[in-house]
Amino acid sequence: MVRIAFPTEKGGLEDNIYPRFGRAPTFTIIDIEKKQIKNVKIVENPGYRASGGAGVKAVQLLANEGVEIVMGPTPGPNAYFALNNAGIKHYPVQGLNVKEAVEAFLREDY
Amino acid sequence: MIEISIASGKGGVGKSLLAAHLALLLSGKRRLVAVDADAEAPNMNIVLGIKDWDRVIEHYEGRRAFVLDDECTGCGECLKACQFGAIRVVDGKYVVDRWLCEGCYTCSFVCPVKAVRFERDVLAGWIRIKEKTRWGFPLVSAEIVPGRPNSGKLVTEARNKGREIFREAEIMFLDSAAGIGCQVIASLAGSHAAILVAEPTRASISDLKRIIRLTQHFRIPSMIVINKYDLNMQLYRELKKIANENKLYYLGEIPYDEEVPRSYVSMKPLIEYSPDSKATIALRRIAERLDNILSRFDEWRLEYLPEAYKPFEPIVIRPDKTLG
Amino acid sequence: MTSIAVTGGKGGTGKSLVATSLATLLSKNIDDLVLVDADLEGPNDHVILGIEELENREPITLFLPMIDTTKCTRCGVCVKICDTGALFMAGKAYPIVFPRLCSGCKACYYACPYGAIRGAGHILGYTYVTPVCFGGRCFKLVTGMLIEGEEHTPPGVYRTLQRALELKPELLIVDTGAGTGNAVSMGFRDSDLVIVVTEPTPLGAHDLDSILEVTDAMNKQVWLVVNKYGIGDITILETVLRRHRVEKIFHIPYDKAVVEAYAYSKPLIIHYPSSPASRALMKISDELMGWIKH
Repeated sequence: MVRIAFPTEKGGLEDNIYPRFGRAPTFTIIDIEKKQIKNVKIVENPGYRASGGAGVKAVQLLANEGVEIVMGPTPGPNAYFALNNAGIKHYPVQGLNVKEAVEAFLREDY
Repeated sequence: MIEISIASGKGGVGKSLLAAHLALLLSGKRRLVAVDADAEAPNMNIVLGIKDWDRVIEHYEGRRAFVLDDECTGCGECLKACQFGAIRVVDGKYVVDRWLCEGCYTCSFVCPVKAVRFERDVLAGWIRIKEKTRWGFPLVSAEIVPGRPNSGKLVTEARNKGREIFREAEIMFLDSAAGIGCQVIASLAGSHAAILVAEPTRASISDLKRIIRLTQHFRIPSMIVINKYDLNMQLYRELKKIANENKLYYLGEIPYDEEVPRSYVSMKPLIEYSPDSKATIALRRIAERLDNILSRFDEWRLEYLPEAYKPFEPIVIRPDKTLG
Repeated sequence: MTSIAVTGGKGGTGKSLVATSLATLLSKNIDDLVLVDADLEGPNDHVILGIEELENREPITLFLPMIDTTKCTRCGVCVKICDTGALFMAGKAYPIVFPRLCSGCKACYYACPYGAIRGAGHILGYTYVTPVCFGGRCFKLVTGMLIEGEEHTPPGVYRTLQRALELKPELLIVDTGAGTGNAVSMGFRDSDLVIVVTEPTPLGAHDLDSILEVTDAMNKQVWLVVNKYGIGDITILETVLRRHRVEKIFHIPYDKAVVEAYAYSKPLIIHYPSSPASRALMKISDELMGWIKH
């Protein structure tokens, strides 16, 4: 099983990937098992409400949720470091909705 | 929508002058929206001579401590613990200074009787909207409440508002916050291109270098404009060298022109106040070049995309095993 | 001790010119005068005063958490409490610290149930104390300066003011930073009198409005100095002034000598004492002397 997170606005498979990482209102977290979507979960991003340090707070959430991969725009310098530190891989994706990004992932475009 | 950030590190180098004029010079040809995210000193409206707004949205965020007088025993622990000098004794009572408190919780941890409480969602700023300027494009302007800390959240809200009020726009010009911290990251993240503004001074050069590290981190293809270029020819050449080495598209230069400060006083954009001035001619040329780029944006973007992914390494302290 | 702050909203209004000139003039009559350059992001009082090297450097040290791994149980309380995202914990690893995000608030230190957070020093910038003498009369200049790339200005301003107070001055003049943020309001919140320097331009008027908003709310006594009087349109300021409390208004005429003095780092009132701007500054200084005695 692999757990992937996507920065989103309202969240869900049909939602577009949010153009910013740390300041996305939500993350849509998806479990994939045997090339199938198993579980879809939408979590609120604490970085959305933060005055500062939004990116690190977002990564903290993803680390707590046991996310292994995040697909979306490039995170800021601090968040990028935190992702590496937590061993979370980042795949740059933009302009797709969550479902399309999952499909791209399953086709092993990444 | 193509989002273009206009950024400069520190303020005062002509960022708003450029942002405002690009918007008004291109507004005849292209559907665009302008967002002033320099919330500590929003002045695009002043450059454009805009005096009133159609809508003002209050922005609430953060928190602020206060002391319950009835429960406070006057032990003074909070005053000692506050790292910002935000707690003082006024007429025998412990008072939290509303301009200095950033809501960090330190005082509430040290208070033995739990007399510190928090007021949440404090008025932190305003987002002002002009639905249609005289040139046709809408302007969104963010401003921090005097005495409150700056915020990346407000920048993000202003950007979102800009997108929301004109969804059909082809371009967004974003007058980015000053500095290189959180607010600038909030302005640059997700931008499709950046226009960096510099002037031939040492301070501006070091700011430019730092902002380039950020645009490379985000892989934002960037252009450069040198303002008051003729003030120091040696540093001007140095700026051009930096631009070259970092693959910045050279969008142009603006000469030092006394008509610029005079136009601010007149409450009219420079190109209307002084249509034949040196700076006006330079701004028109810059706008034309940008217009050309926008006509072949995807091609330009690929050409000027920072090559390798160069993450900006933050300073980090790892737990020291030898400590203790 | 009497404390006066000089502030001005946006940069370039002539705030530092007024502060340095007043310090120079008032030091003729006041023995222990301290001028504080609290514009930590770009201090330039020493440049205006023609000082080449600042003296008596001391670091401005902020609290920075260090995790004592012999005590840390990796409970994550510090990470939850941190408001600035400066602490990060991957899984069950020990937390790491981002010093540039840390505001030095110390909340993590007090929140940790195991006493596992130790204070380490993070150098934010430096303060300097430099003696300044003209014609045998001296005052001290306290300068605060952030290290390039640091952004947490308010605690730096606080430490700079603390250093000035340690000198136990009879008169303290604080030159605040530019803008209207909390680093600026900190500069004048303890002052007995706030001198607001503005210019008759739309931008000047806008920032004057913001700064008077704060001085009104703090119930401060305010004197206004209109610099570059003669350019622009003075009526633009009048609309703003109708909304606020200002006790006295002074004018400094637009004067080429000011630009020359600045370009050659020569204090205006020493090298151009009979220029119109110098004479205007002397008048303010005389009135101030009267106010201080009173």
